[in-house]
Amino acid sequence: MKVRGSLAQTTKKCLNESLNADMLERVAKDIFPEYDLHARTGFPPNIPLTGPVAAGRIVDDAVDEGRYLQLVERLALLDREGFMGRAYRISGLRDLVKGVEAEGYLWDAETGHLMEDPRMRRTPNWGRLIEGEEFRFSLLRMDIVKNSRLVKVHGESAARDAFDDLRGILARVVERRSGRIWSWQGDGALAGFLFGHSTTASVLAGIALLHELFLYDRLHNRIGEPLKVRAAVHTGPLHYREDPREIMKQETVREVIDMESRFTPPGALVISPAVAPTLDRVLLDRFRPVAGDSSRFLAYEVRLGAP
Amino acid sequence: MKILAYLADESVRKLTPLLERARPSDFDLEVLPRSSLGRSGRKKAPETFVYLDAAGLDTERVLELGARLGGFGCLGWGVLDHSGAVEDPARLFFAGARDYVAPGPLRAAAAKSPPPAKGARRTPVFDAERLAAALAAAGFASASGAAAEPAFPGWDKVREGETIAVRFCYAAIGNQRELLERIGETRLYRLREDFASFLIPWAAECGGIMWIREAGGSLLLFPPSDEGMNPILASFRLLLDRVLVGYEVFALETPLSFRFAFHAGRTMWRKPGSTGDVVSEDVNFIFHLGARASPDGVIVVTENSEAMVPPYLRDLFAAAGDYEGRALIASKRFRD
Repeated sequence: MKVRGSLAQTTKKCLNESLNADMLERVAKDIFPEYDLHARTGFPPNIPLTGPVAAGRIVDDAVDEGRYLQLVERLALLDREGFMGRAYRISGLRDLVKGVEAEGYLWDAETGHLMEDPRMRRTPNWGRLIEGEEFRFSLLRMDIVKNSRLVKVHGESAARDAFDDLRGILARVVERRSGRIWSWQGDGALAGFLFGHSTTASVLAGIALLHELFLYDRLHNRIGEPLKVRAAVHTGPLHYREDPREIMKQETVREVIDMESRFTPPGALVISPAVAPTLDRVLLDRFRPVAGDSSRFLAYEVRLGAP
Repeated sequence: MKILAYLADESVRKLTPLLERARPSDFDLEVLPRSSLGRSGRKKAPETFVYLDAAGLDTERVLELGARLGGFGCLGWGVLDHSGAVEDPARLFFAGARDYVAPGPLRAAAAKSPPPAKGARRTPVFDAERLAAALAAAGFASASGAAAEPAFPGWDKVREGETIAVRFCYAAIGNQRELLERIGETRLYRLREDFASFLIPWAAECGGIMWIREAGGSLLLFPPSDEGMNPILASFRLLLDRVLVGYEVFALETPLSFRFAFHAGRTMWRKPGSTGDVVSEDVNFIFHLGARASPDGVIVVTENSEAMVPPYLRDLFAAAGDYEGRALIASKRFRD
């Protein structure tokens, strides 16, 4: 996030007025692992730092290193919950949050995060992840079944139109649940989910994708045969990279692609054993073991019976 | 609404101006060469009535192309037979055609003959009644249709006490007995209230209105023809999305299902909340049908509202017996 000078100044003032230097350093350590305020300011360890110096350094570091949003969120948490049983009132916090919101972010009370306002922009890093940072992401992988045959039979133009429609559907179901599409390579896509109940959100997005396609085939499909996909959800550690090719190389991504291509029946959403225990029973019960796979993976499909 | 005509290459120049003059005023006209039918594969044609020029084709070929038109998702298809190529037009209707324009009206229109004498009737090229019937069968209505009801004025413009034609929908949470055991009386009560509130904007998207709220279910009214999303499609989508709706909208940790019953009929109009003196056989019937005779997880539709089922969902409905002397169809059930 690009932080205006005036907003940085307001933040410094807010920190200085609300917390002493020790508490400031404690807050900074929550945001920057191994943060050493004296080393950063150049003061010897035996010299106590004044509030304005500490606040100024921390805010400048947060802005320079892309952790400004985390700083504001930490202050909001401190104001709400205190620390070690002691209450801390952060003066001017409301103005601070307003200033961030003016830059195109929204306060999400559920997750306690400042998130990109989706009406203004949707960036792959939610406007806040830093290159190389590792998180536990939930991944939704989707692949179009026999996409080459569709192009061959129906022509490039008709197939491309259908794939564009599918891309629109996927974007809707993913972004509605705060996910981001990271990669779309002709026949397949990868979406990431990080905040809130990320595994649940990715599974719900996968279910919604199958439902939307069920109706799409009846209402809007112009190629004359159902557009089938295979979808898979898996969760695991991942280093965030701005280059999608660097994301695709990582182990967790390779695992979800393997799940999708080897174990997912056409028209189904499959979840990994790492995802299943994170789901509420009401969702998990909608999944059945994948046939012939020793029940390692569970699958969801739209199935119709008699009236 | 649109009329899409696939004309033989040699007929395009002759028939296009004729069709343009003859089209009903509430339909646009698009003409495509018939030869493009083979090349373009399936064409998306919602809200479109498609005509095929039969010139130079034998009946079998007309039937074959007609079947292809039927897959366009159009409102219906018909045949323009200005050369008299079709030997047995009845076969067209058995094959699913909804209109057949015989050589006579087309030749008369092409001849630019003077208007017929007063009292004499000239058969029009496009028969408004047949088009209206075809549209009604597909869940639409045409202003040009002689049999069509007058346009619905809007709920706020209907006069109190006036008897109006409407489409009734009884909507309820399904499996309420099981839900009562799982979530308890207080939460079930709140869920019913939340569902009824949810239905208000849901119905409004289809031009409908929440009319009577009862503990077990709600009675919604929809205009006689679609104004917005088709209500059966909207219900079908809710049944399809029941897992998502239960979890994301109502925050339920237990499975949720719905029940829908549709019926077309008439009732005296009273504003919602002032319906105590409404006496209507159709209102009684829909309440009985919805509350007593409709299974959970499906959409039940009476025979007189069958036209509400959009053509692209029709194969998902099957005969479901009858209730109080009215034949029913019901949607297939999504399996958990």
